[in-house]
Amino acid sequence: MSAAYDFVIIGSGAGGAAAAWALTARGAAVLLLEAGPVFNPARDYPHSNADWEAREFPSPQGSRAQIIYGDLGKLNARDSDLASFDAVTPRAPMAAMRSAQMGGYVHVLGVGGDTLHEVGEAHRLHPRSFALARDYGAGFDWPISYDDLEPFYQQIEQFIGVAGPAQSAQRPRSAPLPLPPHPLSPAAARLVEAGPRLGLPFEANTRAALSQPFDTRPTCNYCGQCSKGCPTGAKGSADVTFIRHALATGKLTLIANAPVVRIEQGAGGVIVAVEYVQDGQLYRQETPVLIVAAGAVQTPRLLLASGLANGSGQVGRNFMETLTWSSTALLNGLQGSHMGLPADAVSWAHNAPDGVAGAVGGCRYTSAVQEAGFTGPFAYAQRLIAGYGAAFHRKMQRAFGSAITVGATGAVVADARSNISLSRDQVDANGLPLPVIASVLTDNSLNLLRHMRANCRALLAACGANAPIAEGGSWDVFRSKHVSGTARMGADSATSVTDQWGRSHDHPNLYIADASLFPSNGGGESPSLTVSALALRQAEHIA
Amino acid sequence: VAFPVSDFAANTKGRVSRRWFVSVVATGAAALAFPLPARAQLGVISPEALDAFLEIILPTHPTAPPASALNLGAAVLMDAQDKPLLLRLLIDGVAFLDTVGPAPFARLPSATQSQLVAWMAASDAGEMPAQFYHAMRSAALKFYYTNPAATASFDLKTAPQPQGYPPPWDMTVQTAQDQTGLGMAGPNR
Repeated sequence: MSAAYDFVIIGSGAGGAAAAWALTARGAAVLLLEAGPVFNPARDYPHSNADWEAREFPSPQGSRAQIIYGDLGKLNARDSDLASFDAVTPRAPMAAMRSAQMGGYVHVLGVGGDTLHEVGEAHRLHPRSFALARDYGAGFDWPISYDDLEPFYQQIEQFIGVAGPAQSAQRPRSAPLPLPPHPLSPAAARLVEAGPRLGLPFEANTRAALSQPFDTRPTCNYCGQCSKGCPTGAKGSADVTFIRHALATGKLTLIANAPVVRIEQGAGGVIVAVEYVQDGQLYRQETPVLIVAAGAVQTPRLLLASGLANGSGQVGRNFMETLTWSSTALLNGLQGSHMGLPADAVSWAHNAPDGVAGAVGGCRYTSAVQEAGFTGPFAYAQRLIAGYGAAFHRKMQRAFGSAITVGATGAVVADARSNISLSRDQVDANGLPLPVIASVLTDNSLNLLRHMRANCRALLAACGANAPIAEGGSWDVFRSKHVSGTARMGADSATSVTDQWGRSHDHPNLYIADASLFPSNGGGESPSLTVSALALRQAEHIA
Repeated sequence: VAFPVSDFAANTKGRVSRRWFVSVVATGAAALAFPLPARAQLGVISPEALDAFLEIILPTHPTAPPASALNLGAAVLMDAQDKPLLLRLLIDGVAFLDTVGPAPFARLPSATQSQLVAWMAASDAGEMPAQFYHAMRSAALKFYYTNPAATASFDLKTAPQPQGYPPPWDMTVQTAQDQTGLGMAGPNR
């Protein structure tokens, strides 16, 4: 195909979709290539069926990438106090290695990308997280500051309809959020009440879910199933926000089920074309400018396979997973905890890079009943209520609706052992080498994990709950939706992959617009808003 | 007829390999065990034993129907057709149920059935009896709680959509929000 577009974008998640919207809104002709399918909310998110609880986020053909897991770290017996457990599953002997369970890298290939199965938290990074190396001697610095990104955070919040407190003490805003916060769920209300007694005040979380009708989309009806797909459009996933509006301009061509297999460069390192596969046919598409936004695993995979953008040797390096912990207990007197919006309350008290003694990076806490999946009796029976017979029935009747979960999410500081590489002997159906994820927890991560666990437990106790009956986190299980860092931006071309605009140091017309760009990943913030803000900032710069 | 719990262990000895799952997976026995189509394999499983086992797991209760009312045994068998490891566990486990006691499981007195299930639940998690107990319990509960008849007594809709769970949820929540100033309170400006 000849060059009929001003831009070609690879990937339609939080970054690629935001870039497509921003560019088409400015009159540019954009081709958006998405490796996965188009999801149909009414068909694919059947939360009105009686078997809703047994269903996971759908995985139609082509919506899951093949991943190989390399070194995920050894499990040391001295840290076995961090082992995951629940009240039902028999405790297995400690494994020798951390493993990728429950999906490992949970990534959706499809129009909307990971925003389809995210809970939909809309977080700004902590302002001090942008200078982690300079100020705290760990990880890497961003080449931009919070103030540089703030106007773009604000525009994205206004565009997708973020609900939350009007202002934030830690993250100054140039304008209030467009929508008021959601009402607190029963479990969140308990944490709001108990948190201050521990110095962990909770506030309404900033959520990309509508608390009022907005942009022709309906108010959230609190079904609690955000991470299994939103069938109403109340969650501001990329397909119902950026892509819908980009298509409305008439300037966007969207091709789904079209994985890109190669990026072609010409003289002077200029990118000239991409090759993608659709229905078994190989196509070549020329482009004046290429934006790669395939996520922090697929983007470095594609760059490495194409031999591009790696003059610094940093492509695929500095992989950062997300550090997680959750503690669940039953709370006498709590009713209806399965109702309400997931992750509706958050405590940022330990979120600054120096917010946790003994560990750099910070963390945050959320009310996580729905995120943990305790929205129906099957989950209770599988993880919280053991046994059988009449006693089991009685316990279920007493317990259902009384689960309270505190989740914690923490920083991961980039480490040389954690990276994305290419498999030497395994390729996908299109001949592209499979990506290999290596991700190892450092002492800093383990210290932070223990801190997170201690405070999750303390919060439960302050609510009056019994001891946790289900706990787990990153120590023994690698499971991460939010990954970053594998093509980081920086001021020095010798130590980073792109400049502050996400433009490759090596190729004048190659841009990256996903979480690969992150030099650090904040203190547990959800990354989507930052990815979209970076993409918007980039688009304004190059349009 | 009383059947001492210790006899289950004695009868098990030498007939159930330790670390059943590990041994089956390591040797590939799950796959090798299926020269016949899965449907034919199901024929060797005593549905009476499985039904009786599940009835101990989920008996009738004032708030919930029993397993038999929802035909859970048949659902579990159907579900196992395309899951070789689960099917192998079903074959081995049901055979175990029917031979470990003094009579086939379905014909044992209810008290003896309960004793056996209790022993299986508490046995070594690496051995087949415990793995059968946990796997059947889990499989049965999935079909159980996806049937509206089993969830009717909970404060729960048949499905979370299309109605959702609009607030308010309870007065405790509203009080907490009023006290903290959090929660929906009109325009955000």
